[in-house]
Amino acid sequence: MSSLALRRTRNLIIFGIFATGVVVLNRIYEVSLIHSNFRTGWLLLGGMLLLTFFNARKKLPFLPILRAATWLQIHIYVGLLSVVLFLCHIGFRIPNGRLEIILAILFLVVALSGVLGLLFSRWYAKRLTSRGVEVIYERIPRLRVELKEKAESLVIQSASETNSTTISQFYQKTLAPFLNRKRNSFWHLIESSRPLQVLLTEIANQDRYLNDKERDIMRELSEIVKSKNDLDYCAALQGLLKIWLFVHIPLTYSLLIASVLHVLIAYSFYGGAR
Amino acid sequence: MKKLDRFGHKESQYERPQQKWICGHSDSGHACQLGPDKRGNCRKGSECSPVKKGERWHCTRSEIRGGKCTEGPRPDGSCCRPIPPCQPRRSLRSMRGLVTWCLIALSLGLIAIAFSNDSVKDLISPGELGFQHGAVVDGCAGCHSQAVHPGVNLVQTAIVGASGIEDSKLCLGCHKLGQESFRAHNLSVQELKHSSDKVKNHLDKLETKPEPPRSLALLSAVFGGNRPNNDATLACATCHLEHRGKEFNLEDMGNERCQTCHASAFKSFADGHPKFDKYPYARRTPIIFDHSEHFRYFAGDHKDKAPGSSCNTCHHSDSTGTAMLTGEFSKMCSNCHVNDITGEKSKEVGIPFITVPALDLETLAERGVSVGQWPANADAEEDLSQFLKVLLSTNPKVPLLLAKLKDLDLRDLSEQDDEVLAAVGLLAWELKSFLFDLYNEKEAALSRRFAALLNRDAQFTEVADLSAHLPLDLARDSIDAWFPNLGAEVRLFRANRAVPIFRMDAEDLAESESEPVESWYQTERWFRRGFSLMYQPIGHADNFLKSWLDYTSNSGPMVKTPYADELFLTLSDRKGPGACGKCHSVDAINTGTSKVSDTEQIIAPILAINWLTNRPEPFRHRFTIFSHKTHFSLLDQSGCQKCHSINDEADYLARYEGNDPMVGESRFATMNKDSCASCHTEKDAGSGCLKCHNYHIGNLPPAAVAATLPGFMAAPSTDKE
Repeated sequence: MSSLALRRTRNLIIFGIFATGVVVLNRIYEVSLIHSNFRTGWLLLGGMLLLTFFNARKKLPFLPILRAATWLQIHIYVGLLSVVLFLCHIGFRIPNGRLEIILAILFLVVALSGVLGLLFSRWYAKRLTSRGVEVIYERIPRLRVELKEKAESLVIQSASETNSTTISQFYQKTLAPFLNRKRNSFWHLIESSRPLQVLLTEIANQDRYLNDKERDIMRELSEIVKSKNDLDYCAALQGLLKIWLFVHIPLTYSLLIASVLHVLIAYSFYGGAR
Repeated sequence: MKKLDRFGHKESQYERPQQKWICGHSDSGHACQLGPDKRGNCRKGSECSPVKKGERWHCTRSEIRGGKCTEGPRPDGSCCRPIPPCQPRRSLRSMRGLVTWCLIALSLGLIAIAFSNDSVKDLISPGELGFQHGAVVDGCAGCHSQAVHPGVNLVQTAIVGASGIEDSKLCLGCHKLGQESFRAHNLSVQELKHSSDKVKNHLDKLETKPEPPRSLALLSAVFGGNRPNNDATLACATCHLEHRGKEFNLEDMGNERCQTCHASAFKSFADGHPKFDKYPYARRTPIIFDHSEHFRYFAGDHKDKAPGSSCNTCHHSDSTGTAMLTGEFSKMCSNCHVNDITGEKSKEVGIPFITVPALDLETLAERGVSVGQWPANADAEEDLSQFLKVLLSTNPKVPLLLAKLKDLDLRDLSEQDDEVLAAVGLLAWELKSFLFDLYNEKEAALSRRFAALLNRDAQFTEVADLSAHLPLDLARDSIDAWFPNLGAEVRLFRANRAVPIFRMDAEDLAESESEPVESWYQTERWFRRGFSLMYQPIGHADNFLKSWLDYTSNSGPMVKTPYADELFLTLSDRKGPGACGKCHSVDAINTGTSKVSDTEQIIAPILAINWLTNRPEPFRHRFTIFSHKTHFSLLDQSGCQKCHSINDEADYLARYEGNDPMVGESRFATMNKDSCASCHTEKDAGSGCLKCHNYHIGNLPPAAVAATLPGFMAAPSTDKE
C-alpha cells in the first residue's frame, strides 16, 4: 500500500472513531436528559473557527504552525466531522426557525462547497496531470493571445503566398470565434472532446478545397486549435478549482456571524438543562 | 503533447497571484512589468527601465520580452517603448476578499436592521410554537423570564444566562403541578427516595436482573451508572421541547429518556418491565365487598335474590371509558342488606343516644353524696352512652371525671372512697344539667354543645344532622318519666343549695319498675326504651350516623377527645350500630413525621371513612393509566374475568382488619403482564412508557383563569390629549 493510501486509511479511521464517538456521546446525552445541543454547539463553533483558521494560516505562511499540507488534512477531516456534529446539533431534523434555517442553509452550502472543492481538487488535478498540460492559470489569457496571433499570421501568410481566400474565410467564420475567448468549459468539465472533434472535422472537410501549400498551413492551424482546446481545458478545470472558493470562504464568515448570534440567543432563551 | 507554457526565468515572467491588482493588459498578453500600484492605479510603465553606464543609456528589456530593442533608450534615459495606460483589474484573490467583506457587511447589516424593529422576534424564534401555546403565549416574555426585550438585552442575558427553573415558573402560571412542581414526577424527595429504595430492594431479590437498553448501558459505561438523583430539580424544557412546529407532540418522550433516572432500566415492556405486583389491587377497595362470597351465595339456592347475572349489573364504565364504576346500594345491595343498617333483624333495634345509667344510690345516700332523685331501676345494662360522653365532655371537668370513673361499676360503689363518690355525684349532676337544658332549650342546648365541640358556631344543618331532629316532646316526656323533679333539683344545684337526698322505698321501686320499657314516639327514628333515648337508622346513607362518623374521625372538624375517638371506632366497627363499617372501610392516611426539638415525632395518621366507591377524579393524575373501554373488544367468553380472575385462596376480609389500605390480599389474582405484552409491542398497540404511565402525578387541577370581575375592572381613562 502506498504512503498516500496508508495516510488516507489512517485519517479515515481516526475520523470514523471521532464521528462515531460524537454520535454515541450525543445519544448518551440525549437519553440522560441533558440536552447535548450546547456541547455539540460549542464543538461545532470551535470546529468552524479551526476550519476558518486554515484560510488565515494560508495568508501567514511564515508562521511555524504545522505545514500547509497538514493543515489541509486537518481542514478536510475536521470539516467532515463538523457535518456529523451539525447533524447531531440539529437533532437530525429540519430546523424550523428562521435564523436556524438560515444557519442550516449557510452551513450546508459551506460544507457542500467544501466537499465539492475537495472532490474537484482530487478529480481535476488528476485529470490535468493525465492530460499532460501544464499551464499557470494566470498566464492562460496571454497564451490564448499568443495562439491567436500565431494563427492570424498563418492566415495572412496563406493569403499572401497562395492568393487564395479559402483559409482566411474559414478562419474568419469558424476558427476566429473559437480562438478569441475561452470556449466549451462545460464540455471540458465533463471530459468530453465532442466540440473539438466537430471543429477538427470541419477543418478536415476543407481539405478538398486546398492546395498543398494551404494544406500545410491548415495542418498548423489544426495544431493551434488543439493547443487552444487544451488551454480551454486547463482554464475550465483550474477555473472551477478557484471559483468554488468564492462560495466556500465568503459564506464561512456569514455563517460565523450568524453562529455567534445563535449562541447569544441560545444562552438567553434556553429554558432547560444544559 | 505540445507544451503550451514555458517555465524558467528567461522564458516566462514571474507571476504574482497574491497581488491585489493586475495589469489591464495581462489578458492581451502585454502586461507591463511594473504592474499597478497598491491602490489599483496604472503606473504607465514602459517595456524597460534603461540604466546608465558611463555616458550612455542602455536598454534593459528582458529576454522574455524580446531582449534589447534596436532603438535603445531616449537621450533623457527614458524607454523608447512606453506601454499605453491600462485599467488595472483585481486579481481573483482580491475579488474573493471583496466578496467576503461584502457578505460580512451584508450579514451584519441585515442583523442590525432585524434588531432595530419588532420583526427580530420572528427572526430569532427557533420555530413555531405548538398549537397549545401558540394562541395563548404573548411574546417571548410569556415563557422566557429574561426576555424583557431581546434586542437590547441579548448580550446581557446571554452572559447572565437563562435559568431553566425561572423560565419554568412561568409555565406554572397555567399548569399547576402542586408543591413539588420541579421534582421528578412531582413527588417529594422522601417519596422519590422511598420509590428508589423499593425498586432497589426489588432488584436485589431478583436472580436475573433486567438488561438496560443499549444507550443506557452506554450511559452507565460513560457515567458509571444511571443517575437517580432524588434531590435534583427539573426544568419543564428538559422534557417538553417547544418551537418545533404546531403539530409537534410536546409530550414526545423516548422510553430510554424516561428510564435514565430510574434505578432499574429495561429494554421494553415485554422484555424487562417488572411483573405486575398486585396491580391493580395493591390498594384495597374503599367498599368492602367479597366477590367470591357473593358469587358462592348466589350460585347456590339464592339465584332469585341476585340483582343480576353479569358484571354489568353492578359495574359500568364512566363517560370517558377509563374507569369502571360501581352501581348504587339501592339497586344492588338493598334487597339483602338494608336490615343490617336499620337493625330490623337484630336482637335490639336502635342505638342509645342518651342513657341514664344505674347508680349505687344506697351507698351514695349513706355517704352523703346527693344526686337528687335518681331512678333506682335506671338502665343497669348501659353506661353513659358514647354520644353523651362526647356531648358532656364540652365541660372541661367531665373528661377528668370520666377518667376517674373509668372501668368503674356505678351500681356498686360500696368499696369506693369519697373522692370517687363525689366524682359520681358531679357526673350525675352534669347529666341532669344537660337534660335540664335539653328539656328547656331543646335544640339550642344541643347547638351550644355542638358549637363547643366544633370550636365555632354550629350551623343549622349540622345540628339537624347530628341530632337527627330529636323530637322535643319525646325528650321531655322521657325526662319527666326519669326525673320528675329535675327542674327544681337543678335550680337548687346551680344555686349551690343543698339538694335533698332522695331515699328510695319499696313503693317507689315498684312504681319505677312498672314504667314502660319501650315507647315509640312521633317519629319512627327516635324512641324511648327504658332509661335510654334510642335512635334507629332510617336506612342506607343515614345522615345521623354519617355525620357523627365524619365529625368524630380525627380528620373531622370536632375537637379531638378520647370519647370522640371511641365513638368513631364504635360506629365504624364492622359489627357496630348501623353496620356502616361492614362495607365502608376506614383508611389511615399517614401525614409523616414532625420534628420536635431533637426528636422526631410520628404524627398520628388521619382516619377517614370511605363513603364512596372508586370514582374517577378528574384532576387526579395517577402513575398508571388504563382505559377499560379500549379493551372491551378483546374480551372473550370469560368476560371481565379474562383479566380479573377470582383468587379464592385470599383472606380477603383480613385486608380490612387494620386501617392501612395497602396491605393484605385482594380477592382478585394479580394480573399477568404477559397478556398485556402480547399486544403492547412497539409494532402493534405500542409499548411506550407514556402509553400506560403519567409522568406528572398528583392532584393537578387546571389553573383558574384570573379574570377580573366587571366591578373590579379598571375604569377607562378619561384623559383627553
